[in-house]
Amino acid sequence: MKQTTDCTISYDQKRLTGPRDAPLIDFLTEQGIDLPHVCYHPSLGPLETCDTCWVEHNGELVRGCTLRSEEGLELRSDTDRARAAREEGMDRLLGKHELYCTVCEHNTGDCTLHNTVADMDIPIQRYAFTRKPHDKDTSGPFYTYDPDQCILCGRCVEACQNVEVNETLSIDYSMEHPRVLWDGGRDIDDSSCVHCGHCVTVCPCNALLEKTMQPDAGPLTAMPEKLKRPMIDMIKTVEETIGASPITGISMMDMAWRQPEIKRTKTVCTYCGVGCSFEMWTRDRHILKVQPVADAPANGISTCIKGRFAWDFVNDKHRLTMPLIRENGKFREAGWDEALDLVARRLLEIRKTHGPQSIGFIGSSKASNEEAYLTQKIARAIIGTNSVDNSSRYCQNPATKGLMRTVGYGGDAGTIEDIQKADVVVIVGSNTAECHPVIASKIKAAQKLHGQKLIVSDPRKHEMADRADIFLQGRISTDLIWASALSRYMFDHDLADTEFLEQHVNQVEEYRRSLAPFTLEYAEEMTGIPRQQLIDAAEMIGRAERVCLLWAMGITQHTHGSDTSTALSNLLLVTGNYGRPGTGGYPMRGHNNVQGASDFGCLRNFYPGYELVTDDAARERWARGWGVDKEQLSDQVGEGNFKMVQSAESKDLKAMFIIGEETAFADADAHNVHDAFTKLDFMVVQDIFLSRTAEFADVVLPACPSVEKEGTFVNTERRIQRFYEVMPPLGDSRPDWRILTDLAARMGHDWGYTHPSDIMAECASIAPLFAGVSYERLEGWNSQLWPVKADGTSTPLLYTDGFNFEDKRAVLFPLEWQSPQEAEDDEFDLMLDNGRLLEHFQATNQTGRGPRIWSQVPNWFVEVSPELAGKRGIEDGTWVRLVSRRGEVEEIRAVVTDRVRGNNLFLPIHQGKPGVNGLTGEHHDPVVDTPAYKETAVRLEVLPREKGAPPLPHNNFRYGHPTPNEGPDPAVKWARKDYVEPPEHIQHPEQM
Amino acid sequence: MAERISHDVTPPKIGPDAHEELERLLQTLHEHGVLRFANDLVAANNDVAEVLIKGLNKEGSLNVIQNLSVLAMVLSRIEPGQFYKVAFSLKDAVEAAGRKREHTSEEEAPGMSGTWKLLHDDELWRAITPLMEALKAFGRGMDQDIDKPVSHFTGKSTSA
Repeated sequence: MKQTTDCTISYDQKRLTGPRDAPLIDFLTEQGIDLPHVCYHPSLGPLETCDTCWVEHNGELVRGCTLRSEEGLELRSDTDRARAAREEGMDRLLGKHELYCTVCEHNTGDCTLHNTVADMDIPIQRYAFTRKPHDKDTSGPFYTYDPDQCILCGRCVEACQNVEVNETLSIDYSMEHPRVLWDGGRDIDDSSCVHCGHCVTVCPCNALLEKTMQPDAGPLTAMPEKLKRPMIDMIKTVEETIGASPITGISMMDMAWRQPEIKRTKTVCTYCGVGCSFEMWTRDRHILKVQPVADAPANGISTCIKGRFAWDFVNDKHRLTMPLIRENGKFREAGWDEALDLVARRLLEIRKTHGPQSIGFIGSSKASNEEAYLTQKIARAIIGTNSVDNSSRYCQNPATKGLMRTVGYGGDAGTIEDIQKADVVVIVGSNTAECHPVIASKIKAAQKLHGQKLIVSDPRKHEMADRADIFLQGRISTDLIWASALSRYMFDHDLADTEFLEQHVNQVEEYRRSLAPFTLEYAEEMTGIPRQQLIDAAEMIGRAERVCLLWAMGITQHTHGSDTSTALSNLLLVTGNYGRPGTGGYPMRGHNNVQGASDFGCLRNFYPGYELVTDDAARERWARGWGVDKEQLSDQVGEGNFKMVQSAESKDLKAMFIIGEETAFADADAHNVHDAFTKLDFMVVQDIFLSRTAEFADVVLPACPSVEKEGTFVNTERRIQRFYEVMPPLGDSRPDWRILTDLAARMGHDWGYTHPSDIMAECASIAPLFAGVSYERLEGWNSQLWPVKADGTSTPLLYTDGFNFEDKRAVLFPLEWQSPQEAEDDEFDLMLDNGRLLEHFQATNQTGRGPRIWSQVPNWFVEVSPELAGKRGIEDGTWVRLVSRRGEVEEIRAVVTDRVRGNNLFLPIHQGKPGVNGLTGEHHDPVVDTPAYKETAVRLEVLPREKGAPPLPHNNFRYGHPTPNEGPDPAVKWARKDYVEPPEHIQHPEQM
Repeated sequence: MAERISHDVTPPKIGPDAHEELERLLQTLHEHGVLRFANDLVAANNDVAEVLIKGLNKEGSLNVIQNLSVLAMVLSRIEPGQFYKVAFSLKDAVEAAGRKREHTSEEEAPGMSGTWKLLHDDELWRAITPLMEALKAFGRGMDQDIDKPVSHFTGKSTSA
C-alpha cells in the first residue's frame, strides 16, 4: 500500500512506488533493481567520482547517485547513450585497476567493483590497465594500500574526513598520477592514522585490504608472485581473444566456492561501552577480518583500532584451556569435575563455617548479562550474600549515583543519535576520542558537518579539547564548582528553563539557595578558569535548544565523584535539558558490559533491574522467581569489590570468586590488594588468561571470550544486543554461563539452563525493567533499550513522560564543594592524571597479545608539560622516577607534550607491574566507595642515567599531521583539461 | 663365555609404505591448499554449477557446445590418415592463401582461348559459383585488419 511518505517514479517506463526523498540507488535496490554504481555507499552518500551510474533525466545524462526519489521523476537507464556512458565509466575504472579477481583476496562476495563488472557484463575493457608510479604501502601493521588497484573513488577519503573525522586521508585529483595520500604523502605507519579501519571498510575493491586477509583469503590467492604474475598475464592474453565474460565467469565461480569456508557472524565488541557490533569473518579459527555493517545500531560502519583489529588474543597461545588447581606452591592442570567439585565443596564449607557474608563475588563487566545474572544468583540464592559487585565500582557508580539522585535512572538519558542531534555537546573529564572513539567520531562529524558546538572541560588537552569551541582547562577536582557556578549563572541571567523547572522538578528553591557560594569570581579563583570563559560556556549552554553532557572517569574517580556527577545533572535540569531528543546526561560507560553487569544485578544493593535488596516486596518476588525461601535472600546490603578487598585484608572475608576482572591490577593501592588476596582462605578466578589476579587463586577456571559463546551485552546507551558464537571454545575452556550453571548444580541447585536465552527469559519474567526482552526480539541486528515494556517496546529516550520517581518529578540536589582528600604538597608536588590510551585496554590482557598493537605503543611513559620539563631539564626519553605516598614507579621515560599543563602529569593505566595502582591510594568517594584514582599526588625525580629513545615511537599517530578537508572533490577532476564526460573516450583514465 | 648366537636382525624399514605415502600425500595436499580447494568446491557445488550453467546457457555458448559436438561427430567418422591430409592441406591452403595476398609478378592470367571455353561451361559455373562466393567472402575476411579477435568479435576496441 502506498504511504503518504511514498512517491511513484518512472524508471525505464516502469512505475515504481517507494519512499520519497530516498537516494535513487537505495530506492531502486529496494525494488530489486541494480543501477550499476561503485563510489556510492549508503553511509557516505554520493561522491560522483566513478561515473558508472549514468541515467537519462529530461533528456540529459545525469549521475544516478545524485538523484533522490520524488513524485513524477522520469528516468531512463536503458538508452544506448546511458548504457554507453556507464560502460565508459567502468572502462575508465578498469584502466586504473587490474582485474585478477580469482587470485585476489577480496573476491569474497562483497567486492563492489568485481560485482559491478560482473553485473554490467562488460565484454572487454576499453583501456589497458596502466601501472602507477607508486609502490604498495605495507608499512602499517593492520592494512595495506595498493595504488595500482586504487580506482580513486574517494570513499576512503570521505570516511576518514567526514565519518571518522581523523582527517588523515586526501586525494588531489590535479596531480599527474593521483593516489590516496596519508598526511599529504607519508607512509601509513608514519602518519596520523589511528587505524580505525573506516577506509578499509568502505574501499570498494582491494586497494585497501586487511593484512589478516592476505595472502590466503581465497583458496587460490596464496600462490607466490612468480607464479601469480605469469598466470595473470596469460589470462590477460587469452582475454584478448575470448573476451572478458568467460574470465568473469571463473571469478564468479571462485566467489561461490569461497563461501562455504567463510563464516560471517554478528558479534559485539568487548572493549569500551559504545557497543559496536559488526560481522566477524572467520575461516575455521582464523579471523579474516572484522566487517562493520551499516545496520549496526550503535556504530554503523564505524569502529576503532581495538574493535577492528585487536582480536589476536582469541587464538593466543597463553589462553587458559584447562582448570588449574593450586597444589604445593604450583598450579596443576585438572579436569572440570575435580575443579568444580572442589570449588563447590570449599564455598559451601566456608559458608557453613563463617556464614554467607564471608564470601564475596566479583562479576565481570566483560562477560554477558546472563553471566552477570548467574553470578549474582549464585551469591544471593545459593550463598545468601549481597556481596556481589563488578568493576563499575571502580569507575561508574558515582555517575549512576548522580543520575539516581536527580533523574532516577542510572543510565544514559538517550542514544548516540541524541548526542549527534544536540546543538551543544559538553564533555567533562572524558578523553572521548581515545576511550570511546566511535562516539567521538559522531561528535566530531556533527561539529564539522552540522555546526554542533563543543565545550570540553579537562585538565588535559586531548583531541576533543583541541577541537572544542570552548576549552575549560581547570584545576583537578574542581568541576563541581564551575558546574554549580554555571547553574547559578542560568538563574541569575534568566537562562534557567523556569517553565520546565516548575512543571517537572522538585527542590528548585532549596537548590538555588545552595548555589549562593558559587559566584563566577569564586569559580574563577578555585578552578583557575578565566571568568569570561565561564560566561561564554554558560551563554552557549543556556541559549542552546538542545544540550547533551558527557562525562567519564575524570569526574567519577575522585573523592566526591558522586557529587560532581550530581552537579552536572543539576545543570542539565536547570537548563531543561532532559526528556527531549538531543538532550540529557551521558556517563560514558567504559567496559563493553559494565552497564549490563550492573543492570543484571552485580551490585551490592540491587537485584537485576535496580530493585533494592532492602525492598521487601522485591526480595519476595525474586525469591519466588528463583524458587527459594525469601529468608534465603539476605536483606542486608553487601560489600562492593573495594570493600571486599579491605575485608579480605582484615580477614573478615574468607573467600572470593572473581570472574573476568583484573582486580589485582585495577583496584587502587595494588600492594594492599595483593596482601589482601594472600590472606583469603579460598579464591577462585574464572578468566581467559592467567591474569595477575588469577596468580593468587586456589582454583583457576578457563572461560571463553565472547566470540566463543552466545549472550547479550548492554552498551552505554542502555542498548541490549545479542552476540553469537563465532567459533567453538578453545581447548577445554567453557562459556562462563555453563561453568556457573554447572557449579550451581554441584551446590545443589540444578537450574537446567541449556542456552543463555533460558537465563534471559527467566530474568525478564522477574525484573520489570526487562519485561519484554527476549532473544527473538534481539535477533540479528535488532536491539532493545531498557526499560523494555512487556510488549517489547524499548525506551531509547528516557524521561519523555516524567522522571523515574514516584511523583515523576526530577530533583535538584543541593551540594557543597568539598576539597579532595589528596592534593599536592611540598613533598609530593605534582598531580598525576591517569587514564587510557586509544590503542590499549585496561591491563592489556586482550590488547597486549601479539605484536601489532605493541608496535604502536611499545613503552610505558609519563607525559610531562613543557613548562615542567623546562624547569627540570626533562626531554623526550629522559628517565624519571615517580613516587607517591604509597609506592613508586622506579623508572619510566618521559614524553614532553602540551597535552598536559603546569604541574600535572599523565600516566597511561595499561602497563607496568604493579602499574599505576602502585601509586594510587585507598581514599575514595564515601557515597559509593569508588577509589579516587585521579587524586594522586606524586614526586618526580629525574634519574641520573643517559636519556633513552623517545618512548612513543615516531610512527605513533600522535606525531602525525592530519590534513583536514571537505572530502573528495570531483570538481577538481572534472576541471582537468583531459577530462570529458562519458560516453566520450579519454586518453589517460589512469590519471584521474 | 656365552655361546655364539646366530641372529637375524629385524630389517629396518627402508622407505615409506603405502600408508605413509598416503599420509604424506594428504599432508602435501593440505599444505598446498588442494584439500581446502576441493572442500570449497564440493561444498559450493550447487552455486558453482549455477554460475557455470548460467554462463553456458546462452546462445553463443550453446552454439559453441553444439558446433564442438558436430566437430567431434565428424572427427569420429574420419580416418586419421585422411584427416591428417585434409588438416595439413588446409594448413597449406591457409599458408598459400596468406602468401597469395602478397602480389608477385609470377601470377599470370589465363589465356584468351582458355577463358572463352570456361565461360561456356555451365556445369563448371554451377560448381564454381559457391566456391567463388566463399572465396570472395574469404578474401573479404582476409582483407580485414584484425588487431584483436575480441574487438573484431564484439565490435568494441580495446587497448588491454
